[in-house]
Amino acid sequence: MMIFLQNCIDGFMIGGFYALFALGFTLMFGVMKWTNLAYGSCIMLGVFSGIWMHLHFQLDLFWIFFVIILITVIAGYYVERLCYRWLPKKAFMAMMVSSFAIWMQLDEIVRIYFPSRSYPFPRLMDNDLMMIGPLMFKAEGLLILVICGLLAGTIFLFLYKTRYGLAMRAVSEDPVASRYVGINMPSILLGTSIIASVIGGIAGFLMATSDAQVSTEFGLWVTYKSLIAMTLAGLGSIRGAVLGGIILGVIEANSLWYLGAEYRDLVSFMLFFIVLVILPGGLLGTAKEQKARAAVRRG
Amino acid sequence: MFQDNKSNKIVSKRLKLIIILCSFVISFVIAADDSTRERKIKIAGFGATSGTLQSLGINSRAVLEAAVEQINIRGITTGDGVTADLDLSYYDSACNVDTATSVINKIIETDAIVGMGPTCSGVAEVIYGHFQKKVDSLDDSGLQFPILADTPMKIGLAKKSEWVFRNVANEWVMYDKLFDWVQTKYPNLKTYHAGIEIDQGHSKATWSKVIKVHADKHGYKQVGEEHWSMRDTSFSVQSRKFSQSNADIIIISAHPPTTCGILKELALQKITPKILIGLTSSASPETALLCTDAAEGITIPTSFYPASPLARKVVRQAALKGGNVDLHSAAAWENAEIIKRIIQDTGIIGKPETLKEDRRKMRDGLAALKSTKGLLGIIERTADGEAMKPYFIVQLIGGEWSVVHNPN
Repeated sequence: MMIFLQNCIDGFMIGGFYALFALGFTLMFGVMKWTNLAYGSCIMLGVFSGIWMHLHFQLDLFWIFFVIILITVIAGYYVERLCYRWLPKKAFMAMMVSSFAIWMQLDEIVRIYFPSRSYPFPRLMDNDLMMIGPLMFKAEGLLILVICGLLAGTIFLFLYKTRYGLAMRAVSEDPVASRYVGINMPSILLGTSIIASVIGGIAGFLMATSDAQVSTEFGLWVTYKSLIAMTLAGLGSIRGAVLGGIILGVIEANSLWYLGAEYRDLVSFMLFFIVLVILPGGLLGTAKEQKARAAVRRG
Repeated sequence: MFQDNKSNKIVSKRLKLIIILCSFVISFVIAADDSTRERKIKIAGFGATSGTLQSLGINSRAVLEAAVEQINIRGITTGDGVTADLDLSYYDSACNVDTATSVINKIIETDAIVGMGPTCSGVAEVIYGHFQKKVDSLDDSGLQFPILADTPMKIGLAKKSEWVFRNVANEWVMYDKLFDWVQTKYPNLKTYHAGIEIDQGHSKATWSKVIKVHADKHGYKQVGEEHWSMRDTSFSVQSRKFSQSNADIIIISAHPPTTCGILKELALQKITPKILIGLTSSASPETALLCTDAAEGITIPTSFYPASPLARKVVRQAALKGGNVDLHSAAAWENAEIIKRIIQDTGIIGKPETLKEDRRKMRDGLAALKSTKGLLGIIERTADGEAMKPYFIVQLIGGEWSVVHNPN
């Protein structure tokens, strides 16, 4: 039992990261109805820009953080222009596939300018272990969970307590009606993309400083983990992204312990598939959403 | 006084004139020397200069370019007595079988007399199978082109074809000697627990076919085996299993990024084995840079260490070309020297019309080698196209690799 509990704690720690990455992903999906596959690469470009500034100008962590956010936002803006804004709004497949092309492009840019497999990244804090009885907690992991909760809460409040958030939800529900009531669509879409990039930048910074190293595989890792996390609990749902991240982390940690690394991804993807088939709206999807998405799936 | 000044000025003018004339003569000689090197003997390198493992290919290319540059200062005497230059072309074969196959086909269409590559063992395993297995075999239409590899480490790759030769570290011998040394140095150790990066051919194969075999042969008892993939970032579950087994020896068969990932987690959970053993590929500056503290004391056998003046020179020359020297890329320098030697010994001509014979001479020359001069000493060659390189057992101490045992 203790082992299972410890696995769950470990799963929560890594799940906090998945949740953070999935938050940005889900915001874009929720408001823009766009699966931006280049999301992870935008974050990776931001993180590597931070590393470059650190290596060349010995910037401290505070400034590295801002560089990462800035470059992630610029990269996000670039992707939004190329893969979303300039394409017809009903061309969902074209939007997703074009973001795949940009994903590959951004990954190659990083690999060209950063030829080594991995680079060191300065630590934010010394990662200490805290023992509560036989259970082990990482200080850094707890911090990530707190930040994740705060960010999710802030986004939730922003969406439900501000006029801009109301406009975002309106665009998400019915873009045509939103335009008729005078909502500035381009501003909302751009704002969504920027907020998602900022969240991604924060998550990327925290991940890099927690691992104290970053590899050029980072973008791919972010994209597929956050895609699964987002889909598990509810596409386009803030609570769903957080829950999905945590669930994915816990399942991975337990399957790693009980079945081994070979089966970990197999179990995650199987769960991902089952959720998509049985509950197309995700674990937190309402009955109405489930029906609607199942109808879309049947064509 | 006035007279003296005048004569001084005349002497000074004459001196300037002599210096200018000398400069002209030297420039002319250098230019003339260059112009005599019309003969270019083409050689081809190929490896992963893009993709996840691009750093390995970039390092090999840098070392190879530096070696060719050094060789071309004096030139190579061809079979018809002409002094020729080596002309290197390097191709990106990524770490991909299809790309590497098309690169090989492209190289064979050029005038290259020998190819050097690829980077990845998994790719090498497939593409070496395209070559003629037995030389002069009439019922085998496989590729007939000599290959001298510097990086792919997986055991036994040169057996795939008699056209394929390798100058890579012999992990079989190195790990055998490493465990001999461990037994002498730490006589009371009994158990080991291994961690393996399972999605990389080298780390997986070296573990199962080399390290595990020798650990068992030396009487150590395995108490656990953990796996992860090269993209993993979290190692807390595996580390807890290491903690649970409390093994005397922890063996990490992984490349530097995940080696450092697991070592940082082990340090965090305060897991301190009696000795920590790593994969040959991790005896690199990358490990020292990524996890200086966590990797303290990791012990690895390696066929490269900047111990000799020549090895140190290679490190400097490679850095100028934008590469690092490690046990993989160091072999690229030695390979260029081997090629120079065979060209001179076997009388390779290096003309397009002698291409077929030159390639055959290169193959036969490689097959006939009994020993070659390496960066750290004499490299013995085996009958199946492999190398027995000098090696050290090194340990990361205070962020620097230090030799703890020199069996040479």
